[in-house]
Amino acid sequence: MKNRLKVLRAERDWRQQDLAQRLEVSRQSVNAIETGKYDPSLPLAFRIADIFALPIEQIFLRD
Amino acid sequence: MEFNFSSKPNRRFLVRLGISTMVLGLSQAAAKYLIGEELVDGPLIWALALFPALAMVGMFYACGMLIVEQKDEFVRMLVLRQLVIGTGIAISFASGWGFLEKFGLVDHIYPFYFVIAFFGGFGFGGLVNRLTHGAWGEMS
Repeated sequence: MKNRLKVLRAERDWRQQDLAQRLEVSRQSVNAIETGKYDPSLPLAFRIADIFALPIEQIFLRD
Repeated sequence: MEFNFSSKPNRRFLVRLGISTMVLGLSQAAAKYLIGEELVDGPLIWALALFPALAMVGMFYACGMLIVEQKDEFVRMLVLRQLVIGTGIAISFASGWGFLEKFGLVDHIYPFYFVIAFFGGFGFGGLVNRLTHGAWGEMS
């Protein structure tokens, strides 16, 4: 699954560590999601959507 | 590769594993001496002989609790992958060695050596995680 996490994070000038702290996950998790190596669970995807104040479908895209 | 000490589940895992390993060493030495020198008899021999096995159970408990207590779903998945790889390697080693032993090609080894194979596989699983997912797992 593709996502716009890296772009959205860059727009806010956040490092991976900053986003990880907001999500209460490890920096490795953020990196794995950004690089498409890991698809988050629905609860984590909702937390990401809440942080960016966007609907999930504007962050995560179908392949 | 470095151990993430800021993660509470990781710290607990390390403490539990350390205690289990220490108990394993001490109980094995005690059993070897007391049983070997015939200083004990009766049911106490059974208890002494089984005590190192309980320490090994403690190691598996540490691995189980690492999964249960892990709040980070990505790291939890990595640890689960490590456990699956470790289990696969251990049972493959046990199967292979078992048949080689059955046909007289290798000497008998105690089954608890397969636990070492398991932990070796667990570590190897971390390397596989690093290559496929960019993080080690319990060491990330």
